Amino acid sequence: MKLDSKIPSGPIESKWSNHKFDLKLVNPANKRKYTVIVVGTGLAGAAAAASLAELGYKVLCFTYHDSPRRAHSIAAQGGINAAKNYQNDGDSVHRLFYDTIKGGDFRAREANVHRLAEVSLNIIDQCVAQGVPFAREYSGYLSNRSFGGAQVSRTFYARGQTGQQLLIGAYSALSKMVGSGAVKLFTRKEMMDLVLVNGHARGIVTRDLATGKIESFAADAVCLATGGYSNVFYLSTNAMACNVTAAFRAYKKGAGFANPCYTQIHPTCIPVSGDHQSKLTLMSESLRNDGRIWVPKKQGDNRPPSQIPEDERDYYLERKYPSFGNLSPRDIASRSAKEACDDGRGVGPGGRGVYLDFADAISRLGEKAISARYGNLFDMYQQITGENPYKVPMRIYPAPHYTMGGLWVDYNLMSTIPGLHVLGEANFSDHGANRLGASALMQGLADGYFVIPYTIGGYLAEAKQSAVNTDMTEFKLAVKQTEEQIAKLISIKGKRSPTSFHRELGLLMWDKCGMARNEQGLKQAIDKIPAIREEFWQNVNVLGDAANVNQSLELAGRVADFLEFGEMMCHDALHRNESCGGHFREEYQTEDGEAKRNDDEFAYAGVWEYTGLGKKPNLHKESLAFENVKLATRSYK
Amino acid sequence: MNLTLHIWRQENTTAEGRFSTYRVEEISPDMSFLEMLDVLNERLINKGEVPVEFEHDCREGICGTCSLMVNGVPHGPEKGTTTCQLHMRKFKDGDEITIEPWRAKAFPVLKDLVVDRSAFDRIIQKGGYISANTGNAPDGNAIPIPKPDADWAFEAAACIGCGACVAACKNASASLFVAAKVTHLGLLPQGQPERYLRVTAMVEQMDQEGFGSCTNTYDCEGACPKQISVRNIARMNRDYLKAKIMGN
Amino acid sequence: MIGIFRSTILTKIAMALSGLIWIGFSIAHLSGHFLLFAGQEAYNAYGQGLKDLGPLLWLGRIIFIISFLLHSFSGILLLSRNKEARPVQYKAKKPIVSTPQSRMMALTGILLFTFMVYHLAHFTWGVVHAEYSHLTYTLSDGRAVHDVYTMVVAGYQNVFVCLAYVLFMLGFGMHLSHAIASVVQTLGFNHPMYNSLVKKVANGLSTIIILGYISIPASVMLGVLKLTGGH
Repeated sequence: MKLDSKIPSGPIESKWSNHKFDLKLVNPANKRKYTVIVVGTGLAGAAAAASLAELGYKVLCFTYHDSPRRAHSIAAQGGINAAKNYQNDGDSVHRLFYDTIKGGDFRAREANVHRLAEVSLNIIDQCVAQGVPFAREYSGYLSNRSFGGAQVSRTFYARGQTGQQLLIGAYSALSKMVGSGAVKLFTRKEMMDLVLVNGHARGIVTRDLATGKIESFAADAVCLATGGYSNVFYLSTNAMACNVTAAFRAYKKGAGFANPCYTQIHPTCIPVSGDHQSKLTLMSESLRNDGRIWVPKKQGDNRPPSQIPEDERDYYLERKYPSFGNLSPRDIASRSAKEACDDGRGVGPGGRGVYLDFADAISRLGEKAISARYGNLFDMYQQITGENPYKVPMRIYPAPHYTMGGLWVDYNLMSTIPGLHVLGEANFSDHGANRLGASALMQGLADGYFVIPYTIGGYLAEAKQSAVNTDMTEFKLAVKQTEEQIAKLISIKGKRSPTSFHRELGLLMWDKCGMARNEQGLKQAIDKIPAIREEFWQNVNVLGDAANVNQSLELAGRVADFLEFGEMMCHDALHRNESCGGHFREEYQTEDGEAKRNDDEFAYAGVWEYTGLGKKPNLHKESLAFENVKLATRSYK
Repeated sequence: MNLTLHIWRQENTTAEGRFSTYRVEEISPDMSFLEMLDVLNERLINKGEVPVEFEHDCREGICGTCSLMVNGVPHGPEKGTTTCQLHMRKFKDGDEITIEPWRAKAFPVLKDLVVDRSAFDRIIQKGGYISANTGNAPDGNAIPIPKPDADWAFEAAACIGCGACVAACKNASASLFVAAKVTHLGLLPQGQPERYLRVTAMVEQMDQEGFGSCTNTYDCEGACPKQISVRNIARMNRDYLKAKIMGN
Repeated sequence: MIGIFRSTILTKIAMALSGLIWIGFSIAHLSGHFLLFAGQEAYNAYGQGLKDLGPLLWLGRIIFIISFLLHSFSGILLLSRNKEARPVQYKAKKPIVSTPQSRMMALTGILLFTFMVYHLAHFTWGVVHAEYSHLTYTLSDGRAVHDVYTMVVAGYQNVFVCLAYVLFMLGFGMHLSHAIASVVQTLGFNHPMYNSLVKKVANGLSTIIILGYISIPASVMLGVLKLTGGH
């Protein structure tokens, strides 16, 4: 596996514009001769499919949902960053670039991040033109708010539903191209495999989730925009259907998978309420502006919070990080909550929760002011937990939320398989080891609207591959393999539901490869996962038939891939003998418990190459050069 | 708590459906409605019975995938809430709950409680967009938008496309869904050039899909998990009439 | 013109406009009949005055007939379309915010149609209770005219006729209260600033109209309006 990042030469500010000029073009008349497959219709996928079709390419677009508008980009609450400097507070492309590199704990590729900051400007313009109803001031101009990890106000938002509004913008652009016939949209079709011809990505195999039909589709290039893999933990803030299958099948076909151990754990989620829990709900990070986080000082103190006197409470973030206090970054806040709970001082059912208390803020500002700021969040909390957060402190606990790792891509967003492009959360490129708030939406749209439309032309103009069709052996073989796997899953008829395996894997991953990891735990997980996998293939029970809607079957297929993927993730976490961003190795911390990066040995992206089922994958390294930002230690004391 | 569920089971679009009755026991009041159904399905699988198919995804009330007619009300008894955010503490021990799919000619049942809502997508494809090809956009602040317009546009744009309006309407009308989009885009300056073409194209597609007509009963607004106002329907009627008078 | 009925919104608008004409009719009709309280002379003169309009009367009648046909045709069209839109009914279905009158427009509409046929048969065609439909009355200016006063009062001296009339009018009230508010929405007007006013006007106006109509047979029953023996 060769990792050529294809970073353009020249100063960082002009790399992207020079590169756009250097890229070979496909002339307009020829574009319609090329077919591009886009898998996924979230921000990245819908934006890419629409933009490529506008350029004249024939686009086949796939989603496993009943409609493109359901993709999980829709759930993002906070906002989208852009270096517009509308607030005149000193923002600039360079500052956004710098903040993102630093926020990513110096594990992202400089050139990509700079490009992201550059195109952030166009994204806002594009979305406004599409009719995205961003929040506005009475002047009629766009409103901004500030977000974690930045000292400027650069986040654009649409109440607490920015993701929804941006996705609907991209969905409407996509719908327009579907209406005009330039995009052929396939809903309820899940990608099951990638088809390679002559070493190039030339098609996919899909399963129709309504009829069970297995089909294949041929194209000149394939774009995966299939999201992240937080559901490897079973419980996460991701939607129920989010999975790693598409990316993982590509990995098995030869695409390198980079930094799978970089997972982000969001500190403010509603805790698990019992074994029935199916997913976790995020509460906006903004709550930490006025809420104070605490646990009882005494272990096992199960008095109601109102009966615990002030001097028996431990406001641990304020104690440990006096200058940032309750506003310390996501990874630090998350880890501290875990430590308190591990210490037996957690609150609520199962002792996995900490208080987020608004009593002080309410007595200082009044209930009305708090309600104006957080009313909808308080309502949501009450709806889910049945507790009134105006009266009793909220209980929160960290939950898996976003995955920075993903398929390795070069500067053109192409993976190690020629023709296979990867966009959005599914790739590894821009966030390093930790993503800043309001940057996921920015990256998805940047990749879809403003990067892939240029770079795919460069690939198509140079690839010069001969035409393919789905009657070729490569396609037929891939279809056959998929059919066999489906038949196998249906035929096992064991004793356990697919969900029970998912839950078992998730608990193990959360325990050993979650917020904090250590060598021993990771080794245990690597030992244990193959056993779960083996049992799965002997004892899973998928009822119903394959030629109909069958969600158990869908889930079983996804769990099967998580069961292989989890193992690779643990290998990655085990090999990275340092702590950085979302990857915290207990062995590598400073005396006061802070993450200890090791730039001398680990300033690289770890890229894994598939070597066969149950075998340790091969590690390749793309070393990261920091020429524009000085490597430094993050401190929030 | 223990509950009795009457659930619509239907093998596929053409098959005859029927209600099946299930008992679920030891349901925690902290569960969401869908988690209660998860529990039922786990038990069914363990007994070797085919689980009940129902659609769901984000489980935080924003993706619009979940549906279900719960005791005769779309998304259940809690106002302004999707089924995934409905919690079992709203029910009592011993309750009987009838669970049905959305029912409309334009939303055929695929299996059990799963229906095909692609009619909504086809309506959007006819005109539920502002044609702004990537790269054409002027600066985001080039055209200020009065805050009240932006706010109203946002409220209309909050539609999650779940179909509860159609399910609740005695005529299975999609007026609220279409009107929400017509209003969202029609209020913004960027949406003006296509305003009348849009409303005509969308309304005509809505009619073609076989949805019923609006008879102003407003159960759609009552059922909408995002509480989108029927005011939008009046606006759509007005725009449509104007479009027709102007010959669009 | 036919194209209108291909669009549900235009059909609704046709229904709203034709309904609006009938709302106007019901107010005018009521005001005319209030002359009953002014006595036999005035009422009979009014009846003759209408007849004397000649072609104008027919113009009015044609407008009302066209509106009626448009209203009922649109209604039947939408009803059949709406039934088709939900081929399989719910087992359990609860109204959420809708009022009974809004859900029963077709039913109250059919009721109203039945009433109109009977009403016309009674007073215009003189087919039922024919014994009172050919009396004459001599106005103070000496003209002999149709004694509509006696026809009406005698008609309502039948308890069953009155009871049926009152029931029909309650149905009409239901139809009307939804109709008035609904016209405003269908024609595209809805604003938080005047919505509650529209609701109040709709309920108030329909109550006034219905009470007005009911007051006629009620007055006959209570003996406020009685037969005079004629001239």
